[in-house]
Amino acid sequence: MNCRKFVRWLPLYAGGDLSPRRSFRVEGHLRRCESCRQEAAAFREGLEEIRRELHSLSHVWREPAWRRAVIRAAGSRRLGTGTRRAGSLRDVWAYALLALLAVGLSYLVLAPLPEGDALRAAFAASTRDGAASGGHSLASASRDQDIVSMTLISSETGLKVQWFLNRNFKLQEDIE
Amino acid sequence: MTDEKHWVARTLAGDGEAFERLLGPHRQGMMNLAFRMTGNRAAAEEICQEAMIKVFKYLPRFQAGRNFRSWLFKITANTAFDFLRRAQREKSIISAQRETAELSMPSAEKSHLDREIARRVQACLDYLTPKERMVFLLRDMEGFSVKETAALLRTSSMAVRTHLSRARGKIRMRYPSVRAALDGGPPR
Repeated sequence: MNCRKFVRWLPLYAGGDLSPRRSFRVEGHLRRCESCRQEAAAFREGLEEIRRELHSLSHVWREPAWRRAVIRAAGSRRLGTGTRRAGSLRDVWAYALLALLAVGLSYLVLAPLPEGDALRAAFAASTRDGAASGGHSLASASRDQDIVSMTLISSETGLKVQWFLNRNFKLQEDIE
Repeated sequence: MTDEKHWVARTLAGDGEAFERLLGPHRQGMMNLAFRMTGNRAAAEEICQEAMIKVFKYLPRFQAGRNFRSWLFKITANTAFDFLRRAQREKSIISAQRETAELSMPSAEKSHLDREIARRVQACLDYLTPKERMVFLLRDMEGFSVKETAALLRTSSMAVRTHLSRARGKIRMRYPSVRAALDGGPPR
């Protein structure tokens, strides 16, 4: 081992955190090198001093503050449950969502239903829209054609039957 | 350990006083760690409060065979890291408050000499990164082994040794000059 490697290992060696194998090598080097021996002693002394100072200083957690902290921790929460700080952002969002849902539901329940004319107007509008956008029914192929008539004539008897169907191929009973 | 088991069981049974008895022996350790990490009394109390809330919340998950002290310090350390991260994001003025933190201690509790020492130690710790500071405090102040510190911080022993080596090296370099400056400076 050389002095350069020793300097690298010194912080751990001084605190007793170097592996036994490496410590053995460090000690071998220290037996031979006077300057490293002095450096190790100074380092160890400095570390011990700061450790002592860290132990001697104790930041006092005063009794009232400590008791308040315990009460807050143990008093405001239930064990093992997902707990949240009162008035946290998550709570605000949850309440806002609940309020929105309540308003939506009350609107659905309390809003007046459209009357018959309004329904018919809505149906007419929707059928017009369907036709305009190239809807699926046969009748919608033509903007003006809502009724389809089919005439069947028997070649033997000459009997003639005429059907009137609406755009959804439902028989229009009120039309002869 | 038997006492701890007893207090854990009683806390789980809903005894609030048992929770205080459970944390009581570690009260100063928690506070010192948080205070040395932030250098600020209010921040340290906030970290400890948050850590205690987490301890209470997750106590049912604490396994009986485990070391309660390690578990408690693990939570405190993680809470302190979270706090520092948040503080850095929010451009907190913690570092600006550091110097006055020790001076704000009640004079009855701290002698002038103690305040000088505290300032000296905090001045050294300020040169470390949060990770180095945490490793140094857990190993050299709280006395956890390298292996325990690694488990506590969820990292490898090698990483802990690296941080510890750097931290001790930096402190070794800074300590004499900080000490000389404080010793030579005017008394406050």
